[in-house]
Amino acid sequence: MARFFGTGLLLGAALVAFVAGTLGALPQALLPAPARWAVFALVAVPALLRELGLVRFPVPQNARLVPEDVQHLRRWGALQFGFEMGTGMRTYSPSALPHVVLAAVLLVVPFPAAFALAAGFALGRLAMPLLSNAWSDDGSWTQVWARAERAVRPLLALTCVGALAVAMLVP
Amino acid sequence: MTARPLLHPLTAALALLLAGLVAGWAGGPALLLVAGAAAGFANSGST
Repeated sequence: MARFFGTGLLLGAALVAFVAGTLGALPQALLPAPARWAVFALVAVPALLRELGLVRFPVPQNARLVPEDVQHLRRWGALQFGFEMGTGMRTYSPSALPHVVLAAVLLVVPFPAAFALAAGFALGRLAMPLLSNAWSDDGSWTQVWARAERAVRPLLALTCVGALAVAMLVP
Repeated sequence: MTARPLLHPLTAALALLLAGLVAGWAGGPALLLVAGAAAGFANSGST
């Protein structure tokens, strides 16, 4: 089932990369790089501060709970659910990092490279349920995550923003 | 039980950071893969 969910994640993320990359062609063609980086910084810096726990603000999200019957889905259901989750727009967004990645695709990442970001997003999104299932089947992963969250979120934010900056700015 | 430390979210986050450092040293699109993975992992919350 994980294969179908993972494939769905990849397809959903690739679709967003395609649409955002296509839309991003306009600002990337019209605006000079310093202006695009300045706009990107307006998104990335507050998001980084949020993930570091220094500021608090809500992020745009689809505030809908995932129905419980999703866990009983079979192959095509898992593919569809993975696709929806892969877009990052299926349910609540606990992090601002997807917004940073989306802004990067719109403003500073060349079109083909957007698909590397999408593949990474799908892999990272897939990792959590795989780790959770491997940890135990009693749902205790939720408590583990809650205890680790204060350390994990800043690490992920620094990794994401740092990797984006180095990938785009270092020749 | 012995594999549990490897499954811990902090281990996963540190592995991603290490992967980012290696990819930064090596260059190429691997850095973007790591950036996306960090965002995807962070976006999944607890499940």
